[in-house]
Amino acid sequence: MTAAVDPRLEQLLLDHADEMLLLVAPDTLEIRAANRIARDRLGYPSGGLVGKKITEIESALADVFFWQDVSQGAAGDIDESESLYRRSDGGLLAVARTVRRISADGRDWLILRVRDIRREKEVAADLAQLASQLQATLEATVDGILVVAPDNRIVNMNRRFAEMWGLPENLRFRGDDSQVYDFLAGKLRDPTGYGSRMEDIGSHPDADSFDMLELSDGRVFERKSRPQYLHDQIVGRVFSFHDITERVAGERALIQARDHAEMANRAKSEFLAMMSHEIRTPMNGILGMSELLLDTPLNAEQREFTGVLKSSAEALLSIINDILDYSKIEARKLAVDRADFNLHALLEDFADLYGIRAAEKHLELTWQMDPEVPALLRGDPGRLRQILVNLVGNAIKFTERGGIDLHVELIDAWDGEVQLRFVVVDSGIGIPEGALERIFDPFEQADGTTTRRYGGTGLGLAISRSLTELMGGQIGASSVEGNGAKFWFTATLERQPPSARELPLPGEERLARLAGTRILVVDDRQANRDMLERQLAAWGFRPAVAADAETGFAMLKQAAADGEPYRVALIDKLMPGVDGETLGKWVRATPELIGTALVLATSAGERGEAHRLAEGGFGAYLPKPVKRSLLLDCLLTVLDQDPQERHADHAIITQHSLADARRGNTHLLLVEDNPVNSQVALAMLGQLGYTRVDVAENGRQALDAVGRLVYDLILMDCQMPVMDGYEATRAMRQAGCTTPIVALTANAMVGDREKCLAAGMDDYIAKPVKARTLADTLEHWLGSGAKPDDELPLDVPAAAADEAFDRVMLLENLGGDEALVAEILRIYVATAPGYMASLRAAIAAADAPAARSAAHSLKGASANAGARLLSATAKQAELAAGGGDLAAAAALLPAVEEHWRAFLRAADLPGA
Amino acid sequence: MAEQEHWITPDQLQVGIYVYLDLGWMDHPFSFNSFKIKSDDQIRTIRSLNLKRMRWDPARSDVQPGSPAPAATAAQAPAAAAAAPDPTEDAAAKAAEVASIEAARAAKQARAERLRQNREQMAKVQQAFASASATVRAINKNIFAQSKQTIEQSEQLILQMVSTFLAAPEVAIQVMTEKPGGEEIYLHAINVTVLAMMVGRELGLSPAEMNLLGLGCLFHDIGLTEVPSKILLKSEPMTKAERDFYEMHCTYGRDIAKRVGLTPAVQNIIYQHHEHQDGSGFPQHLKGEAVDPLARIVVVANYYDSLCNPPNAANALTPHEALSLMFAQQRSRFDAKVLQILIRCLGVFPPGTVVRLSNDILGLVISINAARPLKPNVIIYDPEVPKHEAIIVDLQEENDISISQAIRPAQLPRPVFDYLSPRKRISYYFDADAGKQTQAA
Repeated sequence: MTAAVDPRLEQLLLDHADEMLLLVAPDTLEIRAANRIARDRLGYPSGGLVGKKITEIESALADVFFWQDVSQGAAGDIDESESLYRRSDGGLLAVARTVRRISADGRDWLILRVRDIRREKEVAADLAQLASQLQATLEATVDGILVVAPDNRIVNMNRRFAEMWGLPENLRFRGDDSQVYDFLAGKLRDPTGYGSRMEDIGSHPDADSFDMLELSDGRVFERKSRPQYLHDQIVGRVFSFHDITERVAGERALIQARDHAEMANRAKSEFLAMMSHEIRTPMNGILGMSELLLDTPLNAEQREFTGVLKSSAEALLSIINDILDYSKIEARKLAVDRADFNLHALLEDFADLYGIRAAEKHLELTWQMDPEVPALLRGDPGRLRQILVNLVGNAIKFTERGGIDLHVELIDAWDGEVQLRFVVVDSGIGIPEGALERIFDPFEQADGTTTRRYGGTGLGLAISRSLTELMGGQIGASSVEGNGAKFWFTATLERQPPSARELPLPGEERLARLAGTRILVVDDRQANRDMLERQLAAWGFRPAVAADAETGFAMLKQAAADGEPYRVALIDKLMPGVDGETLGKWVRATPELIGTALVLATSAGERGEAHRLAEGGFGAYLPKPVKRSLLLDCLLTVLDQDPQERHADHAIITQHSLADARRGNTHLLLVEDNPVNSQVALAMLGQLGYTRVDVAENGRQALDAVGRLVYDLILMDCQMPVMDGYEATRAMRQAGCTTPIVALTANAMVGDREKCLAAGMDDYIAKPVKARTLADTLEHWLGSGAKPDDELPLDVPAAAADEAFDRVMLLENLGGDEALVAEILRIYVATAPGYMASLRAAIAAADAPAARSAAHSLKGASANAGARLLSATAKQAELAAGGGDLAAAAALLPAVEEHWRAFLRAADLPGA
Repeated sequence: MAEQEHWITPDQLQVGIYVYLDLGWMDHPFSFNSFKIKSDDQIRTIRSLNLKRMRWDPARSDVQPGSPAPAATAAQAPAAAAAAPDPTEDAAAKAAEVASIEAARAAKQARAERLRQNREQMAKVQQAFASASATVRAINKNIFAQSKQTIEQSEQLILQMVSTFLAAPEVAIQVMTEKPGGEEIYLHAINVTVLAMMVGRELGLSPAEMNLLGLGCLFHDIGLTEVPSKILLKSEPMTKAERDFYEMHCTYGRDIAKRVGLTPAVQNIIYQHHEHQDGSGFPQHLKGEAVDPLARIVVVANYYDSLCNPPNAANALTPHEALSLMFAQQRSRFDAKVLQILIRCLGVFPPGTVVRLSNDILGLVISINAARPLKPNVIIYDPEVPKHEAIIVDLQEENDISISQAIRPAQLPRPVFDYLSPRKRISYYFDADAGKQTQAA
């Protein structure tokens, strides 16, 4: 009232107000006044706005109705309603406006207050966009999401959550939270724990949670939750639910499947093991019985039939073994052994056996092991041999002429292990190229006809492949059809630790003296030349080779002319063109070559050849494949001989003579108290060529003997007075004697073997001793000798077991020596009554041990003398007395007398 | 989801409190489940519902709730009333209470009855639409083969519509929701005819003029039969050549109309139905007064329907958006009066618009009475009520409730969308009995 209102200042207010202000006449709807900001914003800075109708500015649909109402007299007060204002350029402004009707000076006016809300609208739009994006994100996830506030109030959930839980619609949109939670809990298998778990989670607001929820309908959910942070404040928690029912089911199924598979695997193993046993047992029965049958008296026809039975059974067993091996491969149950063995010995034995088979088809089998290949290895010799049997067996099977060569070479060596390659080359029918890939597949042969012609299961190579793979190697083949085949395989084997030492070949020490000696090898086969050349070089000789007789002859002459003659020529007998025998004749006909000793090697030996060759000037004659030891022996012997003497005495060195020489040099000790027994033994040994035999009558004497001399082998009787065999052996071993000891025991019962071995013996022979057994055992323990000689006495089938006197057997045992028979009988007649008297006395004195001992001695002596009936009776008495049953023993005395008299009668001896 | 909830007990109810009734629609007599309490009657009615407690929205309430009754008698107002010492007051209160309960029940029944009538009426309109569609289909098929009969048929139809239109005291435009035969029937010609007639009626055209207008609407796009459908159905924008071809359909239409024997006035309408007031139309680029008055009406109706039902449904605008666009930004193209009338007939939220009411309920505007365009009938979404029995609210009767905004159908939550099923193509027909319903109440 007092202060004057300055209109200019008021104008200032108006002009700088943020809002647009308009004054409108309600009757005409014309804009009568507008403030600066209105003019500017609406695009009429220099005028033009005043005088326009407000309906031209207001452009929202609702405005149409509003202004219609106003023009018809309606009051028209509006608070903050949105509208669109049209600018002068046609653009639109989003505004919010308030309309008030006022009265002034008797007139009504409408005041419009208008606010630009574009920014607000943009923000709102952004917000809406963000919110819908958030919602879209929530809806797009595979998991069910539940967002709760710190007080567990439900803030948001996505559709998936509702779907997973089967939340009904009314709970989704309108229900209260406790209803929702109750519904969720109701779905669980165990609803009770739910509430407390939720509290638990709630009480650790900043921790993540993880649960597995099991629903009553069988589904399983994984529930994880994390706190929701806003500026480091926890404002809620987000739960995510993931349906892992399938995963859990999958896991269970997997576990089940695995258990199933394990069970099946176990069942397979058990089956295989059982089948192996079940099949082999009757097979062994058949084989064993057929062998035993062969030992019994059979006529020729029966013998033949039994022979066929036996070989059929062997063939069947081999097929069965193949099949079992194959099943093992299929079931992945094939495993290789780990044992110490001597590769060289294995190959020698193998070559021995298969050399014969090859020879049967007039084929040559040669083999060589490179000197670098260590012999002392650790691996599975049985399986290795199995592969060789397969490959070489096949080679022989499919080769009609020519030969098979086995070569072992060293590929690589490293810490404690070596990798070897075995190569078998044959000159057989070959394999067509297309078949090369297939032959290692099971049941494959090169073609169907092969099976019919050559037989076989088709499994051999497949098994060999699996075996080589188990040995860390590979197998392969190459061939040209019609032109032989080459099969090779590699294997990784361990070396035996250095403590194992290969026994040096006897005689190798003598090599040192002969180093550099020139030796010529004449052989048409490259493989043989290579092998021999390498071996000779390894021994320190100076070898050379010639591929045929002419070249060889030329070389011999040349060397002699040069003043460095070949001292030995190693000649192959069977050569195309000029053969070895002819070459020998040439050499003998050449005076300059008198210093060259001739050694003939042949794969096909004939009887009586030795003599002829000796006439032809050959100093030695060896079978192929040549055994390393034999070759060395031969060379040493030959080189030892004086050339002049050699030819004079026409005595050709053969494998037998070499073996004989060896045997003749062998020093044996026989420990046996019973004179009959020892005579028999000596006779046998003599027959076999062992002439240096010392005899000890009891263990004590044996000990003394061993103390003085080193023997090559000891034959030890077990039951002896003073000191028996076991004790003596133990004593010898303790004293450090390492000589092989072979027990001679009359008690061939189970447990005896173990007893002998436990005492320190190396082997045992059952009494009555058979010549063949003795020969084999001696050869085994005295190192490789010759092949068993045909001339060795065969074990003749025994006659009836209860003969009073079996003269035939006695004669055979003593090699047909009548004089010896008489001597044996003399000794027996002299000593037997003494045993019988001791027996009677012991029984009378109720001395069971003494009775047993006497009966034992009587038994042995009687058996050796052919008094089989008496021997049997004495055995019964021995058993009775040994069991403490003296009465039974006494009861046998009359029989003893009876059988003694029967013997005397049958032997045509006095005193019956 | 639920926001912070506030609860009050019945005894705390006051006039001015915005309350939520968590009950099924049939369990209470009110139009909505949530509203601002207007009167003590309403309070009594609510109390008679025997709810232990109910939610309320402080933000939308004018007053604070009253203080709760003491614990012992907190439960029920009737019980509290019963404990009052004064027997006479007690009896009076009781009587009033009983009366209000009765009134409530009666109101409920009346409401149900009205709803049923509404539905019946709507069904009738759908029928009329179906038969009109059949006729128009037949016309389209036979127009060239049997021109004379077809023209006669058309004239019959238009005659019928015109007489009904002009005779009715009030006309409502209703959106078709049913799908008779399971398919959506949409005939552009019918839509345009209905809209144009409505405008024509408001403009006070004579029956003869209305007839011409009707025929013109029916045949306005006949020229399109000469334009390859390849061009018409393109989703990418047309090339210049294609555009020119398309614009020829006005000329072709006029020629065809001439051929089949339609009057020159109708030919004119057909020829000019794409001309704009500002000369931006085609084919002649006429301006202002040069455009035939009747054609001007067709221009507006046609344009509006094309915005709501374009060839590619993905480009469709909601009726609200279409009208806003025409009014706010393209005003210059149209005859101002015609546009105004169209707006006044269709309202701010024309039939077919999905809306959010001021009480946050979602609904679909189903019919607009041209006399009261701002108070349409709205089908509201209530999950408690099965879809085929959906509630139709007459905003005329709900003074406190208004439409707060239009919503794009795509923004609706799925269950709401399925419930309201706003159709891809909006079809209209008219309800000539619109005025009679309100008298039943």
